Amino acid sequence: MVYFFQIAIDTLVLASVYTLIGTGFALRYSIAKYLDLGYGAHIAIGAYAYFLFSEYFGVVAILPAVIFSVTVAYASERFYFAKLEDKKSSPMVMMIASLGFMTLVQAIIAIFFTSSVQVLHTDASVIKIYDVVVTYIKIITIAVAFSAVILLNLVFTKTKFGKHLIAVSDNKDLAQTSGIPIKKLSIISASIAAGVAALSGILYGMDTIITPFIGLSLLLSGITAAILVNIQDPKKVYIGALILAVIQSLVIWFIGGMWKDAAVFLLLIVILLLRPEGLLRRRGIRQV
Amino acid sequence: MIVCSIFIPLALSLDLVVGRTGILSIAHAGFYGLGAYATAILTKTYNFSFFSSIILGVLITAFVSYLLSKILSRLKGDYYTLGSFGVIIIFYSLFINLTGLTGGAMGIFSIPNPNFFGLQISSNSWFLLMSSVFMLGTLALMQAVISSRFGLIIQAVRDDELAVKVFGYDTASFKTVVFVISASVAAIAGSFYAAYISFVSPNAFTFNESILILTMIIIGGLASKRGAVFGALFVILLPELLRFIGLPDSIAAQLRVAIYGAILMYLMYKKPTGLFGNYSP
Repeated sequence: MVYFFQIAIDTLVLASVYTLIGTGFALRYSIAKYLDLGYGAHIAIGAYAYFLFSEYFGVVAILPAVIFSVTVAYASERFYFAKLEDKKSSPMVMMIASLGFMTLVQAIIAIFFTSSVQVLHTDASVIKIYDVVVTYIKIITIAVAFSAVILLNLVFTKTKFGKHLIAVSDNKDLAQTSGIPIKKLSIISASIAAGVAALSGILYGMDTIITPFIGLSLLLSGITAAILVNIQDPKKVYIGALILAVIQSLVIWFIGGMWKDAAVFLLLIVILLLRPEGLLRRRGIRQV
Repeated sequence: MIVCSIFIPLALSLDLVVGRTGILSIAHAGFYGLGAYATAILTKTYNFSFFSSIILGVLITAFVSYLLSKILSRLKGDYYTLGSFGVIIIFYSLFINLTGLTGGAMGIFSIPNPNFFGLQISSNSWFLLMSSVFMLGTLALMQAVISSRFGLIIQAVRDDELAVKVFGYDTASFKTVVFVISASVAAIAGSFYAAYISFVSPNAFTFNESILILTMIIIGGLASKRGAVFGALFVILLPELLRFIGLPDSIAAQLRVAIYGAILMYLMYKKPTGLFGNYSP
């Protein structure tokens, strides 16, 4: 029984990480309309920035690490990706460019920090709930993801910014003619998404380990979570993340931990084949 | 040099799919790996000859790629690429987890040298001769495919699939055929790789490898044989240049990857057609 709760908590933690990453990605995708693989870079940037800063500042380093990641995202968006969009580059060009960005960032991190695994400075204290040992980090991760989802829902429904995001996501040209500043919105949403990614990288790293390459594998998991539900609807990604995490845990439990990656991607392919719009597609216009 | 003659066909075959047919597939290294493992397992454990292992490797890869193409072709655009990402991760999982067959993470070593009608090919120059024949053969094959009526159709599919369909062509079958041809060439390249290095491990066949090959053809330029050849040569020879600067190997390896990433970014901004390319993605 204890074992079951342990696994349940870990599954929730995994789901939380996937929620954060997938939500940020869906946010980015709904505005940018191309698969920004560079998003994975921000996960790694955040994690390693924290690794660096925590040497001097301890756990408080989370804040500067996230700020650093957001800055990098802002700069790359403003000075590179936005320019590509101005040139009316095709989604494939954007995707290849983002692939280049991610490759570049991962390699730079590997040069400075080596490719071996690193452990992030963390507060390793635990609490015990009914014989189940849970680290504070796990609880914080779940709490952060939970609040992020609620926060996002509020932003989308209550703020003007959120409404602008929905408008751009639905119909970019119409939104532009209505006077919504697309480029500025794009840059801001990219930065926010990167901040979320950085945070998720840090939390994940605190729970387990990091390598320069965690960005890509976490990103693909996040994308799968987003696609499961509806890649253009950041509000619902947590459902997909939960499903994904549960399936992954089941695979680890019944088949073996080494097959978990293959299981995730098999699931991705199956979903893309059967229902590419996601399980909860947006009502009204079909977006594929 | 031998490495070049292995990678040039890899680049050419990927260009057939990406540059000529417009399908961005990241699964290529998986077929490369399939051919390599086929040769490794067949020649070492079952004492097949090198050439029969190539043939068997091609047959297996052709079958697998046929199935995969049928599945993946139901996905559109970006989703196809994502699906191919999934495929290569599944390949890697299979390579590393089926330890009974593939030796797992340790790989398979001491793969015997190829045997050409009794003549043991143990010297590099003989091997270079064989692999050059393969490389030239691939070039000839690409030329034949591209300049044929078939080649015209697949390039038309890249440019406007709907129009081609309207004319009554079953574009899905054309895309499948291209995919299978490309995968089979990659498998042969894999067989040569296995025989040359005499060691295969799953880490040579990850998505990083696929992205490496993709980088080759994007730098060289899509839809261009010259581009694929040049791109392959550039990507392979760049590390040698870096070695002259005297950096430690681990940093040099990552620096090379960083340079590729930077070049990709620069190219997409300035010249998406690459150096000799005829097609912009």
